[in-house]
Amino acid sequence: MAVLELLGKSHLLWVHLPIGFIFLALVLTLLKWKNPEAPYFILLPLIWRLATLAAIFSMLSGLLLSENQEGTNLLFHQYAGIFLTMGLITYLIFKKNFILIFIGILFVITIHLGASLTHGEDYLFTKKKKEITQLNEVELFEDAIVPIFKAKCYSCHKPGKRKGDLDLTSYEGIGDKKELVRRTQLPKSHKEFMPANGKAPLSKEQLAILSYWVEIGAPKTKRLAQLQLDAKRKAIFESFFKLNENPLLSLNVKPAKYEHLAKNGFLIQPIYRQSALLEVKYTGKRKPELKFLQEIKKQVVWLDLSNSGLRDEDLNIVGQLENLFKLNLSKNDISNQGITALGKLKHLKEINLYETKVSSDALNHILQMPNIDKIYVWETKIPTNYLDSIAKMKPAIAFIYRR
Amino acid sequence: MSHSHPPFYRPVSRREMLQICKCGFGSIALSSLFGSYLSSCTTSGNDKNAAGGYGALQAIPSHFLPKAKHIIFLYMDGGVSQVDSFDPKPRLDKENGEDPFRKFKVDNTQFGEVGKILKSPWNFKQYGQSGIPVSDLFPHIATCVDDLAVVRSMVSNFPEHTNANYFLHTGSGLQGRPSMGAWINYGLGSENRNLPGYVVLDGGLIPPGGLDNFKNGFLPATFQASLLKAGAQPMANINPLDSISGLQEEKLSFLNERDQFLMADQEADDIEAAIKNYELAYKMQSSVPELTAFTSESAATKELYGLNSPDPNTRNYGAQCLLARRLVERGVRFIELTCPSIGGLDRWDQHANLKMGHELNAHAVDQPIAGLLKDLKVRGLLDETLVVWTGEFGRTPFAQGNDGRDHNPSAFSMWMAGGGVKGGTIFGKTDEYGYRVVENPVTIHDLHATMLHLLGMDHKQLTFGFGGRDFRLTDVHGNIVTDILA
Repeated sequence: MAVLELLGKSHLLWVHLPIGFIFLALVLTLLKWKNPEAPYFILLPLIWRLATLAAIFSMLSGLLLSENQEGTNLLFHQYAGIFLTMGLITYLIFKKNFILIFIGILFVITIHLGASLTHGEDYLFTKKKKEITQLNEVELFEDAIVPIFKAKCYSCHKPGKRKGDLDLTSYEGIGDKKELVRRTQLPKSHKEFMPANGKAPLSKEQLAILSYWVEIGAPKTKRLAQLQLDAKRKAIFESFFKLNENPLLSLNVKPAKYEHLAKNGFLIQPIYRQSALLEVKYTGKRKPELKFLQEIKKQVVWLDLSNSGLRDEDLNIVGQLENLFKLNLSKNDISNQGITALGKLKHLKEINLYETKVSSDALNHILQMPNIDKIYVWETKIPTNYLDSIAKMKPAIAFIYRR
Repeated sequence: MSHSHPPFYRPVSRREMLQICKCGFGSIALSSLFGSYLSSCTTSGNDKNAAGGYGALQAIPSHFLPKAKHIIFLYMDGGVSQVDSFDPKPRLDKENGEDPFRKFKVDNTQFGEVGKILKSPWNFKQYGQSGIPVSDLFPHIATCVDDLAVVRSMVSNFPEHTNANYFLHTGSGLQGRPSMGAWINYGLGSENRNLPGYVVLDGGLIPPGGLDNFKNGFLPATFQASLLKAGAQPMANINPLDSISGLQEEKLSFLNERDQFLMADQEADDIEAAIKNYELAYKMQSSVPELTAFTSESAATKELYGLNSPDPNTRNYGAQCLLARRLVERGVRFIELTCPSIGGLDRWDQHANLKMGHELNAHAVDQPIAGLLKDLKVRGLLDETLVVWTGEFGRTPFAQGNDGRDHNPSAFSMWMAGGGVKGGTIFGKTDEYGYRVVENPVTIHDLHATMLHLLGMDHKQLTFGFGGRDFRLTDVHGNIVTDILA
């Protein structure tokens, strides 16, 4: 019995043999039409025979494999395979060309259905995912639960397979929802643990979302906006939909050598261990030479040049550090003219200009930056009442100017 | 060993190799003293995860993206009464003067002088957009409530100052473990090469338990706190004693030469540490006077911190708060402020005379702390600095004697502000008397785990091998209080 079972399972291996032979035979037959004189066509009858033999073997092993399984896709695949094999035998006997058309069609159908069984039906044409940008727009079942089922359950519990007579592809097919939570939270070694057979278990996040959904009565339509989420749940959903990802962490930058640059009062270090992104802080007393920053101009994301005797012309180099997120220029003798050099800093979120000589023009320039959301302008030449009105107009940006 | 093979040269042993290398490291460090830049090599720290190979004076990147880079720990020594500061309890007003034993189960207290239920002598008002209630003790801090996350559900394991202090500072109620500041210094180093990474600003009162609250324990000695006193002479010998320029350098270099000589044939650890001490001390002779001179601070800033207050204790604490900001600007990781010594008072520990004692204490710290928060904020420093305000435990809602309150480790309030903290939040809940926590208890371990988390450190990864096992600040405990994180 074990041998038969092994033979059945090896179907997934053997099917590729007839695929190759049949494809080769069909192509060569087509070519022969155009140019019947080519010498290698003497092999064609052999290839057809091999293809038929391999198809018969594949069919038999497939029948062994399908013994205990059911499903419409499987049934069609099975019949298509049997007809294909019969077609091949008929062609070998009668050598009629019109049979080739049937063989071609059955060939494509069988392969496609087979691939659907192993790779899943939406392997070729995945539905375009709804882009979630806010938790409030999340439809709990549709946007969170279905993707979890899809990732971790569909491979066994779908119309074609229905292991344990369970089909999770529709809301109606789910059945006992509490059982889903119980089974997925069992110890992995438990015989009732799901997903079975060592398939990837649900992540902590997925488990939390699934059990929350069941806890509130497993509703089919419920938006997160309608639910009172506490901070922990909110964090779980945010991380599930990747809403809390810091754009800083999605910067793709190659690591650079920086150790040799950390001298003359410059502190240079990764923003955290193993990060390629760097923070640079000047702690020296004399006016710093900034040219070296060009060597790491893609890596520097935080730059602190507070109180270092900078002049407007020094900002030309700062303006080339294209990935800056945070820039501190406070307590420097810089004015509007220097700020104009910073126009290309498209990632910049935070700029600190307290105790500088900048005025309203510089502020307007900074407000052009697409990602700016925090501006420190205490003790500058910008009038407070002007800042009051700007702050009212731009509520999404934090202006810090009053102590 | 060497006499067993007289005809041959004995090869250098592994131990000797290490010793020789270490001497080398120490002398390299000292020799570079007189240059502009220190190449900090050290053998201190033996943990693969943290400061090993770095040293206390070098910045070390965090485990993950940090929210804060510095901590200012405002220690309210003695235990502030929660029901008189951040946790209003109207029921105490209603039942003032009634017998607590008829109302709830009363635990044994430190002094066993359980009196009647005592209402708060202060009124509470709601402040800011968040509407967080604050008592009239802290009118200045109240103006900053939208930056505070108030935790009303703190619990401690100890009802007595010394153990509670060790517990709060080291995560263990017993003497001798490394202080949280030492752990943080060990994990993250210092951004400043001329100042220690862990500084205690001594306002005049060293907490019960003494300097062991600020020690390195089993961590290398370089990670312990350096104390700066309030006043003109913040440290002993901070001004060079030699009047002739260059003489001190000559002396140090001679000393170093002798040390090298000694280290050539002895265990080098102690000498290595001594060289490091000289090295830092020398550098602090130039960095500390610059640090403590407030000449560059504007009159408005001094006013903000309360340096012009008629109350000398406010002036004292204000100067410490201003110093704390200056230390943050210079890259120091962990700064703890102890309370000023107020005549006739024993810290916040009002077993009697609650009204007078708490009022004097609050007056000393309220304006300076609010000034610190506002000043940090406007300079962009509050975003990268975690400010923590807490005592070691709370006080009872019933009186000790007639007009005091006894120790209460079952509930107290604290707040955090700044880097990574969600301002304007209240977390946790006590019962109607403010006596016990009924919702979301937060332990000292949880507080430590949360502080490390905000610094980008995983409290489970920050370990040090000692006595055959790895130790953590949070021992085997600690849950991050995610609800107060921004």
